[in-house]
Order: sequence, then structure tokens, then C-alpha cells
Amino acid sequence: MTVLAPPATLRVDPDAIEEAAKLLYIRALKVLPDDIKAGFARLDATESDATAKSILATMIENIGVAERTDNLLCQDTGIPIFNVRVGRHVEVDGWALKQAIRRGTARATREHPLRSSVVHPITRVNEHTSCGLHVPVINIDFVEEERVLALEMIPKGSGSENGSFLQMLIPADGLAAVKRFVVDAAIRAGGKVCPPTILGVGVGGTSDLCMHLAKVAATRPLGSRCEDAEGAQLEAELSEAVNSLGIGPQGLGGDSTAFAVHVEVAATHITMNPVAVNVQCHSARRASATFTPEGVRIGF
Amino acid sequence: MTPRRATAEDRHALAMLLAELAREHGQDSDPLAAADTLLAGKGKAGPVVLVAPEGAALLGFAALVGHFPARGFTWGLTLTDLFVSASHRSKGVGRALLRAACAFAREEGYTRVENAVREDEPLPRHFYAALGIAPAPRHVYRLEGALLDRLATEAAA
Repeated sequence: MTVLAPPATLRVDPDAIEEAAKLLYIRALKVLPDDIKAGFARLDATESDATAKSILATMIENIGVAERTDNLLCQDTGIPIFNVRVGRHVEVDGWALKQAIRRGTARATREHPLRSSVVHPITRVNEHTSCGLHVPVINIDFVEEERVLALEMIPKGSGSENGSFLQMLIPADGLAAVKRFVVDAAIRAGGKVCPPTILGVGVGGTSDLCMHLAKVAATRPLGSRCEDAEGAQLEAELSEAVNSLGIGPQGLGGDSTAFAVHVEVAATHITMNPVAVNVQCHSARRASATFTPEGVRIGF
Repeated sequence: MTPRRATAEDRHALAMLLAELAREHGQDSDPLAAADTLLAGKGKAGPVVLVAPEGAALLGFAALVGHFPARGFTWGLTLTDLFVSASHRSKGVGRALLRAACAFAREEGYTRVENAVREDEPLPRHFYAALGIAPAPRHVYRLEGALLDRLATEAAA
């Protein structure tokens, strides 16, 4: 009889999570991911409006200044969001992990220091830790990958987060109403969401899942496509429609309204047709740490 | 470019023109709601929107509302906005829209088109002067804001 040895597990120390959370928050606020920089280069190459081109040049210069001077890309430190992906055969204390993320966030805020943008929604009291009730937002998912734990940090700025829209359409409204809602949202958001943006669209699910999908879509790397074929088709159509509006960088006119429209879909109820929009501003910040048996890899 | 009456298909493009208009006037308004209101016009009173299309884009629009009674108890048209997107100005779009407004008035039985412009804005006055149109001898009294409130309160007293 052959006895199979249990697969080795990846053990992740909460102290390492805390350090990573601190590092990622600061890094995300200073260094823009390569896909977003490439997105800027693409828009700059194709923009036909002189004012828009000059605004894009200022934004690109801002990215360079932030990196050269080790400074923040934007004054808005956002609401800290951590997306945690836990692979198979990973040993981690879930409660300790959440506490470690919270401690890392607070330490980044105090020790860097950073402006804490998080307040109690009723008293408006700011604890100056970038933490509060249910904040940092921590989303945990379990994936098939072996012995990996990935921590993605997204500081979600308020200007673009205020550009969030949800409508519980009904099936009789059809896909046409979904498209109309998204373009309406882009117009309503206008320049207030600091375009060029990534327009995240959630289609389906429940009301909360739909909005969550929109957030996932808005924070997805540029160049990625919706895994659902129908969703990918919708992405292409909406990207063209939104970029034909002429909203332009910072809403002052031009071709560069959105880097892309990203769509995420989920199954929904036979009598529902929900759609949500969540906007990511041009400062599409994110940073990640991937824990594997070989060590920790810092990236985007 | 031939101006035509706006349809529901123009909603998003018209909203973008209205957004540009609002931005130029420093107003924070809802351009989609404004577009919906303009496109919902029915009957003689309107509102009516004429647009200047170029492909899928709109270069400008003229917004009109019907007023009654004009001279001889007829219907007249008030041009409430004549707007051309900044990148398409001085290319005859405004003139084309004004001519289209006049043609619409003739076809639909309105006896006049009138437009009040600000005295401190030279461009509209130059626009009409270049077409050989003199201003009508008329003063416009505008009751809005506190003044409107005061008179409304006096009515209730």
C-alpha cells in the first residue's frame, strides 16, 4: 500500500501580511501600474484635441514627478481596499489576516504619514488611521492555484467612487436599456470623475453583487477582457460608445474619455436585469504582493 | 451639414452639447435631464430642438419654445438657446440653425422667431448684425431668484 504524503502547505505569517499591507498602500499611492502608463501613451498618441492632449501631457508628467520625487500621485489616499486570493494548501489564520491588514493600513497612514481619508459616516470623525467600521474593505476569495496567497491593494479615490450608479432594470428593458444606462452614467459623471477613466460595469447578480462586479471591472488591469464572451462583446460596444461622447480628459472635451469600459457579469434572477457602473479615475492605482513558497513578489 | 429636428436617437449627443453649454456658463446641471425635457416637447408650445448633425456627432443645436399670443393672436417662436460646440464655431453652423428655425416657423405656422441676447456679450450681436438683423426695440425684465420670491410672496399676502 502506498501512502501519499499530504501536500506541503504555504504558511503565511500575519506579521508578513501586516508589512505587505503597509508597503502596498504606500506603493499604490506612488507608482502607477505599467498597463495604465501604457494606456496613457495610447491615448496620447491618438488624441486629436489640442486641449485634451495638453491635459494628458500634464497627467503623464505628474506620473513621472510622483515616481522621481517619491511622492503621491494624487492627494486623495482613497478608501483602502484589499482583495485577498487564497490558493489551495495555504495555512493562514483568517482573523489574524484581517487584523494584520488593518494594522498595516494604520501604520502606513501614521508612519509615512498619509492623509487619512476615512471618517465615520454620521459623526464624520476621522481616526487618522485610514481605518474605520468595515474599512479597510477586505474581499477574500479562494482560488485553485497551489500554495499562493495574493494581496491586492486598491486605494479607491472619492471623485471616481462618487461616480457610482445602480439600476435594477427588468428583463423587458433588455440589453438596450443596459447600454443606455452605462452611457447615461458616463455623461452624468462627466468631468467630475477625473477622466480618462476605466468605466466598470456590472451586469446581473443581485444589487450588491452587481455593484461589486462593477468595482471589480473598474479595477481590472487594462488589456484584460471579460471572461464571458457576451460580456466581452458588450465591453467593445460600450468602449466605442463612451469614447464617442467627447467628454475628454478632465471633462474638457476630446477623444480620451475612457481608457476602456470593463464589464463583469454574473447570473441573475429570471425577473431581474440589474446594471451597475463604478468609475475608476485616471489615477488607476493598485499594488500587489504574492506570497509563494519561494518568497514574496511585489508587483501590480 | 443640414439641420434637422432632433429625435430620441440624438439624446446622448444633445446631452453632451448641453453639458458643454452648462460648463461654459459655469453651471452644474444635469444635461441628460435637460435633453430629455427638450426632446419630450409636444404641440405648438414645444420645446422644439433643431440640431446640426455631422455623422453621428452634433455640432450645435437651436432650442425653441412656442409662445402665444404673438401679433394678431398667432403663435410665435422664442429661440431660447442657439449653441454651437466650441470646435465648430465660425463655420456657419449657427447661421444654418437660425435659418432652419425660420424654415420650421414657416412650415409649422409660427409668425415670428425671436431671441433675447445679453447686452454684454458681443458675439450674438455681431452674429445678427452680420445677417443684417437689427435688435427689436424691447426691454427684457427678468424676474428670478430673490426678486421672484419677493413678488410671489407679495401675491400671497
